[in-house]
Amino acid sequence: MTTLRRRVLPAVLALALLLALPALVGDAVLIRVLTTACLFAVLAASWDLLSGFTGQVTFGHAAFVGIGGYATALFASETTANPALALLIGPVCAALFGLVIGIPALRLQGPYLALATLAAASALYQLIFVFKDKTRGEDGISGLTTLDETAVIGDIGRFIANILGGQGFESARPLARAAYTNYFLVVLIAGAVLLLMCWFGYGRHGVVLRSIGQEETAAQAAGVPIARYKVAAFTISGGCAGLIGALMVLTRGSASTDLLALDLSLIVIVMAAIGGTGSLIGPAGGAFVIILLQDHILELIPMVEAEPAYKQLTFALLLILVLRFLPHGLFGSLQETILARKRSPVESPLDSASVGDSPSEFAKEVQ
Amino acid sequence: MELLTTVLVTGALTSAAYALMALGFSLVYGVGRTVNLAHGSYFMVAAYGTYAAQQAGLPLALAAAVGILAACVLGVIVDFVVISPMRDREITILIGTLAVALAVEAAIRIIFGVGNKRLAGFADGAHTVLGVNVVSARIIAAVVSVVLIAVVLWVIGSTSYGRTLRAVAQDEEAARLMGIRTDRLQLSIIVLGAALAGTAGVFVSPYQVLYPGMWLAPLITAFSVVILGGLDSIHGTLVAACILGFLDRLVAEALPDGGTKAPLVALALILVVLVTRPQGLKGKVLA
Repeated sequence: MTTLRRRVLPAVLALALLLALPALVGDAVLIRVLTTACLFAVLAASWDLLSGFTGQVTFGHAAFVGIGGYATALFASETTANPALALLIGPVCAALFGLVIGIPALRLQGPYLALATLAAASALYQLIFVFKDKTRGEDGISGLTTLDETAVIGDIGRFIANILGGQGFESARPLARAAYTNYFLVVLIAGAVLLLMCWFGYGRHGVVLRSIGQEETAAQAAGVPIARYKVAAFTISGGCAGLIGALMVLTRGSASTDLLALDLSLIVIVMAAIGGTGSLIGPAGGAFVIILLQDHILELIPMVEAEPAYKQLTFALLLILVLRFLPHGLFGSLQETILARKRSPVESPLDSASVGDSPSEFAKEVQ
Repeated sequence: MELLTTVLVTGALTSAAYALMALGFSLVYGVGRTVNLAHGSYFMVAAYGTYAAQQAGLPLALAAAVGILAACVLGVIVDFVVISPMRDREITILIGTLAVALAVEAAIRIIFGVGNKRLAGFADGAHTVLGVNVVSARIIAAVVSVVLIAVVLWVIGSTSYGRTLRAVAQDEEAARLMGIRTDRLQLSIIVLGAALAGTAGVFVSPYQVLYPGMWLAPLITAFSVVILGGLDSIHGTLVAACILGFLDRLVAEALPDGGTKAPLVALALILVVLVTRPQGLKGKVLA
């Protein structure tokens, strides 16, 4: 299990850094950007667990986010219960949807699956407008209680923010204080989910999932219950994405159609591919790169500030370069050079999901 | 009765436009096994290219040629930058061509701005067909589409170029061993696909508007039509184009508030077909 430790260690260090960061930067705007980055990191990793590992590429990941998000918003607006409970309800709804869509998806592969998932997400998007009286259509559901205002969870968040928030938190206005509180809660929840995903993805189940992505027939011949694993991947990935949807709604205090939009599904793929699919940490890092570029670094360039399209151009060209020259992605390649000193070169994780885990390790981990 | 003729006439026109859009997509997949998500970008680049050439003072026919040429150039770029180096890596190509589409969208936004543009068509005004009032530009688009589809089917079925195409579609390795320059052929089919999508862009855009996100709708149309028909079947593509084209008009005309329900019905149909027939409606024709 040393692989697990070596892979998870950077994630734990990153988590510690993220918790320490507010005391160091003390800038509420940057805190909001980092909150978004954390949410997208888990989202990209959850896409990776499904698509990067098993090779079932979906173009409709926003469906899970939207279901988690809208379930949260409806729960928060229609009931009087603690909105933080939606952190359970959102992911459960999305996981159920993953289960429901995962079973027919077993029959599909490659481009057929890509279109089917895209169609499913688009259909859900259209349903927002069909059920306009509940979802309020284009306007979205707004004015919800945010995470920092909820009982228990919000109190915990404020408690942590008081300890770790530093100068920035103490001197901040109420709105910025809420941003700090939400940030710490998101880092902790997202970090916990990412670690759970790593535990799952680098353990024996992850090896099985990769074997499906690598050589499905061989995996089947070796007695892997492929159908069960594929559906499980859909369910778990969907549940994690649903949790992110719930967190997005609870940190913004509103749910809108962009939670289900195709743009969201596409940017998640871009993040995962830039970071390096098949490694969980890679896509999470890719999300940080894209969000920090988009909301912070590129904003500093006057030309980009005047014309936001330069951001998209940057991401697209970066993605093409990565696909051409770094088949493991930015972080995948970095990780591989550190990890695989003794190992023979592996194929692109996009096509074979073969990062790490040589057969001997496979045997060790199964035992 | 009036509903029936309306659906028949507008459905036929819509189907023809869908088929033209999907044909190139289907050919590129059939021969190269690549799903090209930049296919909608050809449509957009041709439309904007024509617009720019018109603004520069070129006559319409020449401007249209410039637009289609621009689409072909983009096709060559896509082949050199993404498809050729990543061949045999299906998913990488899917993501790579998506990246190209996003880059083209951003470039168009930077060059032309976000605002809507209007492209002048070959004809203004409207005609009455079977008692149904139709914009002339749509009729022209449909006629062009039917002629081009007939030409492409003839080329594939009856020329030596078509025979090599079919050979490569069946077994690329064997075709190469028989002395076919498969890399050149792949490039030629990508350019052909780009030209077909570009032609669709030049003839369909006049009755729509130009904006930087306009690549997505035709891409999803082409993707849906081709998947519904079965990825490697040209005849399946044509049948599926008709099904989706007529269905779209039927729902839009017959149901109250049908315009918003039409895409939902089409998506539902695609999902149902995919679940019951994972390889699309038709078997292999090209392969």
